[in-house]
Order: sequence, then structure tokens, then C-alpha cells
Amino acid sequence: MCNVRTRITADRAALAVLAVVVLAVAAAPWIAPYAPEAQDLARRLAPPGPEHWLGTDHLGRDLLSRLLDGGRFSMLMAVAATVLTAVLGTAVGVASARRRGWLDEFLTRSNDVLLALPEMVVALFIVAAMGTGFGPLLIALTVTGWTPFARLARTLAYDVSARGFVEAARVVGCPPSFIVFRHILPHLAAPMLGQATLRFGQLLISVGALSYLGLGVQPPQSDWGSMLAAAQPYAERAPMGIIAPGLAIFLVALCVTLIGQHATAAARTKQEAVAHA
Amino acid sequence: MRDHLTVDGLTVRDTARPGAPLLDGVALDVAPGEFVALVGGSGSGKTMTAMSVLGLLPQGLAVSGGSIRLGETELTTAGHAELDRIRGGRIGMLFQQPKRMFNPNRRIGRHLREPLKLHAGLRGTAAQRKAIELLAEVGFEDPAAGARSFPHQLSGGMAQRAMAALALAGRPDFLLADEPTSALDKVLERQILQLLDQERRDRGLGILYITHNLASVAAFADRVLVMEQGRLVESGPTREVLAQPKSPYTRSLLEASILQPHGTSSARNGVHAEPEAALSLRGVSKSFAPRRKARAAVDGVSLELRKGEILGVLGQSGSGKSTLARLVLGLERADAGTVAIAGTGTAHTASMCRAVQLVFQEPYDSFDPRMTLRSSLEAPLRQSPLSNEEREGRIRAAVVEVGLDPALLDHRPRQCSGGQLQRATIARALLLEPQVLICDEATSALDALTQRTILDLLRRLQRERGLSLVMITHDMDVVRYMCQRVAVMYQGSLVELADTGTFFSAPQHEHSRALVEASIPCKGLHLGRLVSAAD
Repeated sequence: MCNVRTRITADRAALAVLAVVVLAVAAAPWIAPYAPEAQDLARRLAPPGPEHWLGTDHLGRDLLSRLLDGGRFSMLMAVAATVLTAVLGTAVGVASARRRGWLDEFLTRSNDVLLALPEMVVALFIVAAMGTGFGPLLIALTVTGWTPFARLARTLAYDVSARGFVEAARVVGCPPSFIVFRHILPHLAAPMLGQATLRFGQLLISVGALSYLGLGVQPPQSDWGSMLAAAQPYAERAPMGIIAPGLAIFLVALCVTLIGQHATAAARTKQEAVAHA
Repeated sequence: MRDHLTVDGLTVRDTARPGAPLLDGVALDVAPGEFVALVGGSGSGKTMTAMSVLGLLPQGLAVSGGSIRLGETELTTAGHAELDRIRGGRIGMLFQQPKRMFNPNRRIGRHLREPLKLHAGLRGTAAQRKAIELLAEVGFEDPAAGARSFPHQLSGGMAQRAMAALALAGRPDFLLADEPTSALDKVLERQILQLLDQERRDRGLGILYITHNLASVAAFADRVLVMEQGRLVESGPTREVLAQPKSPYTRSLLEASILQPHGTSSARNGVHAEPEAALSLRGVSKSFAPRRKARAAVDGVSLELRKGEILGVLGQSGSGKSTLARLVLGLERADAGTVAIAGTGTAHTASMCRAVQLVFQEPYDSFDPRMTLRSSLEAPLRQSPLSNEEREGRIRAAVVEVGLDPALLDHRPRQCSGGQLQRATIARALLLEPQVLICDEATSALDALTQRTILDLLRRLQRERGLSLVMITHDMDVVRYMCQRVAVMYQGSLVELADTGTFFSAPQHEHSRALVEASIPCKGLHLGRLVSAAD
């Protein structure tokens, strides 16, 4: 464990970087210097300079503008997939833990089966079957993405269900819905949030990877992954085309993961404080 | 001369919170072969004293003054390596919950080989032989089988014996015992105490025995130290302290630990138990492992609880007492037999669930740590068509009825004491206007003083509301104090059902006799008489 001051500084820096990126990406239509699709074939593969801060790509499009515009798709996709998988996974996990019996058995085994399949291969299969676009991609990421949430939620819900206050609630006649919403879910919230931030980073990379393989957004729309793929043939002449989107994916994933770790640690400390008091 | 364990002016503070120290100038001395009892209510600093000696204070707490010496060695400034040699090697430790102190994946023998290797240099078969010897010494009938078993296969008493073997494996000169028998019944408590006493006679083991129940150690302790709020308020030879307690705190502890029987007959209690049954069980059975040939947890129990009666249910841990309670509450479904509650059908319906309520053993576990007491108390009223004001009024009335300040409703569980929470549990149960209240070891996690006040509260409620109470307990004093009739469970069956007076004077079943015998103070020290003489 590194020391506390380093950790807090790292968290603050991560939060600041993330805030800047999110704001910039959200405000892309207003702050981007050029339209993302505007081509300037005379200035193809230009190096960074005063006119094009990050240079241009092989069609002479402004890299900074495309980076800001492409971030919207990548991040929106990662957020949507994270929320969807977290909600689905938590619901499945809690249902498993509460109902037990054959439902628990079935859900846990399905979880195991999905865990055994490589995430990327399943996603490839689904996109191949359903076509590209926001919807199919979201489904592709969700099909395997819910499993870690379900595992965690099931274990935690089992633990909370065994606590005396849940039994006490049953004895005084509280309905199951009350027990789930008032007792179990609040106890799950902090660890699930931590897990969600960790997963966000991974999903962002998966979105990039799928787009890189040409299974995400389709031209002329772009995102970070497809930008990487497009810039690859020109890597030697214009390295910025690869560095910029690569760095963007890396930075956002890193920041969110750092914040997530901090949130998880804080939640754990708080729970321990509650347990020991 | 052999070394003494001496604590002098020990002061412990919470480093984060300046202000009054948690331990304030504690001084004590244990000589070889001496049995010293350290007595006090919960939160009085007994455990903290023991932990300071072993250098095991929780994070955030630190010894800020005084000294702890083992012979010539100063322990407050000793390094890790030295403390490691001392812990287990020269000072052993017995904990309250032995099963939690064992690694569930390791056999008992392997646990024992560890200290033997570290402190006696024994390995392999020599260590295994020694481990079996140790288990024999602490009273395992088949020590070889004991060494092969896993912690969960041992009963509570056997686990505590194994823990004792572990603590004694390094041949320590001193033993710190932190409430090692509080979770055990009287028979087992007596056996553990005798075992420790034997060790002290045979090889001069010095014992510091921490407990909240003064009466239980009276027969064994040479000296008694009484702690209150981090200070020693009284110390002296056992006989003197018991006969003439100087501090009022000692006196109240002593009075609380001796529950004078006055609930033995309904006439004396001022309530005539109505012959009508509040609850009746017919041939109730429950088994948790139907496929294996396991013994049933509850085996054909038939029992009738009269209206307004206090019934004690006695039995060792694992005898089926708690399962029986869960069956009555509808938390488990019976394999056979019926549970009927006066005025309701035999099916497990919501209304039946409400007519029988439960008070748990562990006060801090019976409330959601995230909720205020008000939200927890509101939960049972959610289905009723009450307005907010009416609901609040009911909650306040219930809280006041159990003697709590309504201001506590805005507190969270960890801001309350165990006794307050236990009252709140009772208030929560009362909101549903139950006919029967089942108290599952409701007072065994509390210190003697708090226990007394909770028991008195329950008696009052029984009188005023005509409640029927079922007291599930292993504490014979509670039974004597509260109950009109006693039911004894043994291996899932009901083996005896008698009036309390008859039960204590002429127990029928073999197991009942053992329970009764163990509950009588020995060595001619009749505590009740001593206290009344002092009055």
C-alpha cells in the first residue's frame, strides 16, 4: 500500500484530468476548431502546428476535432454498458442470493459458462450476427459484461441476508421487497460502485478494440478505436494519429480506475468503521 | 523465585481522540500459581488490559504511560521478535469465541503443532505425539480423533478445550483468559475452570481470568480485581471482596450476578397462569440433512405454553433450542407436526408471524447499521394503515414503555449501548402487539448489570401485558429468576418439563441433573448469603 498522501494526490489529479476530458468531449460541437468530417486534402497528414494543434489525418481532417467528437461515442458507449451491466448483474446476483434453489443454480452456472467464453469472441459473434451500430455493440458488451457484477452482488447479498437484522425484519413481517430495497441494496451500493468504476475502464478499452476491428461505429462517424485503426498505415509519417486517440483511451481508463479504487477503499474503510463501532 | 507478571500505572489512549484515557493507571500483579479474576461490565477496559499485555492493542490505541513487566522484561517497549517469543511461549491466551480463533481449514492437530514447533522445537511425529498428549491433558476422551478433527466438528466446549491446549502448548507461565466461558453453559464453564485450576496447581500457571460474571469465578479465584470505566475500583482477596464490597459498583455487580429466585411459582409472581394455551406444539420435527442419516435438529417436540407464563428452555448449544424457536416463528418449515397459536390457525401466515416475536442474542446484529432506530422501528408498521402521526406516536409509546429516551430514535445502532439496543428490539416486537415473546439468549451478550435491567423489563411486560415469554438460555440463574416452568432440550428432544421449583430440587433427566449441579456455587461459598450478610 503506497502512502496516503500519494494516493490522495493521484486521486485528485485523476479527477481533474477526467473532468477536463469529459467537459471537452461534451462541449465538442462548440469548442472544436473544425467540423470533424471537414476534409482538407491539400493538408493531409500534417504535423501538429498552430492551425491544426494535433495535425491532420490521411484525409486532411483535424485530429483534435475528431478526437473530441469521437470521445463522445466511446465514452457514452462505455458509460451505457457499465450502467446496464451493473444494474443487470446486481439484479441477477440479488435474485440468486434471495431465491436460492434452482434459480440460483441456473444463474450461477450461466455465469460460469459466460466467464469461460472470451469476452471479445462473444462480442464479435453478436456484432457479426446483428450488424454494427450503437445498439448491437451495447448488447455485445452487456451479454458477457454482467457476470462480474452478478458474482459480487450474489456473494454480498448472501452475507447481508445472513445478518441478524434481515432475520429481524422477517420476524416483524417485512415483505421481501422491503428487505431487498431497504436492507440489502444499500449495503451493496458502495462495493458495486467501486466495481462499476473498475469495469468502466475495461469497457472503454473493449469499445476501442471493437471499433478498431471495424465492428463499432461506421465512417464517417468516428470514435477513438476506429481513429487508431485508420491512422495505423500512416504511423511512420504521422505518429500523432495513433498517439492521440491511444493516449485518450489510456488516460480516461486510468483516471476512472484510480477513482474507482479510491472509492472502493473508502467504502471498505467506512464499512469496517461501522462493523467495529 | 519465578517471575511475576506486573502491570503498573498502565494508561492507554486513543491517539485520534485526545481527552480521557481509555485505561487510567491500571495496576495489577499476577504471581506464579495465582488465579486472579478481573471483573467488570462491558466497556470497562478488561479486554483492553489483556491486549496491552500482549502488545495486541487495536490500531489507533497506544500505551501512553505505565509499565508492563514479565519478570525483568519490559513488555511495553519490547520489539516484535521478543513479543513473538513471549506470546504463546511465556504468556498464553484464551479467547471468548474459540471457534473463530481456529482456521476452519486446518485440523486441530496442525494448529497445535505450530506452537510446539515455535516454542518447543518439536517437529513431525514428535510434535504430533505431543499434540495428542496435550489434548488428552485438557480432557479429550479420544485425543487422537480430536487431533484429526476440524474445528467445526467440535462442540463449543471441546473447541474451548482445544483452545486451552493450544494456549498451553508453549508451556507458558501465565495465561490470560478473556471470557473463555461466557458463551458456554454452566456445565462446560465449570469444566474449563477446573481444567485451568488443575494446571495452576500442577505447574504453577498464573492465571488472569477476565469475566463479567463475578459469581462464576468466585470458587476458583484467589483475588478479585474490579474495573469500571478504565480504572481499578476495587481489589482484594475473593472472600473479602464478596463479603464486604467497598465500592458501590462492585456491590451492584455482585447483586446483579446473583439473581434471587422469585419467579418460581405463579402465586409468588402475582400472576395466575391461565390454563389456556398461548402456543402449542404437537410432535414438531425438523431435520436439516434429509438425505443423510443425520440426527434431527428437533425431534418430535410437543409442548404447551400457557397464557402469561414464563417458560425457560434449557439445553446445550446444538440441542435444538434455537431451531425450535425458528420453527415457531415460521422462519423454518417443520418436517412434521403442527405449531398452533391461540386465535390463529395452524398455517404459517403473516398474522401468526406477528403474534410471536423474537428478541435476539446479539443486539448489534439485530439492527441495520445504516438505519436510524426510528426507521428500523417503523418497518413493522409499514403495512398498517396508520397516518404518520399515529405511527410516530405508537413508536414513541413503545420506546417509552421499554424505558428508552425517544431522542435515541434518531441514533444509529453503533451510537447505542448493547442494553439500549436490546430494549429497542423489545420495543420493535411490542409494536406488533404479540402474544408470545421468544428471547433467544437475549441477555447473554450483556454484562450482569444490564442483564438484570433487561430481565426486570421483561418481567414487567409479562405482568402488565399478560405476555407469554419463552426464555431460551443456558444460564440457570436466569431460569431461576424468571421462569415458572422449565423445559430441557437434549439432542433435539424435549427430555424434561417441570415447574422451576421441582426442577431445581429434583431434576429427573441425567442431563438436567448435570445442569443443576453445575449451577450451585461450590467450595462452601454461598454467594447469596454473603451478600445479604453484607447488607
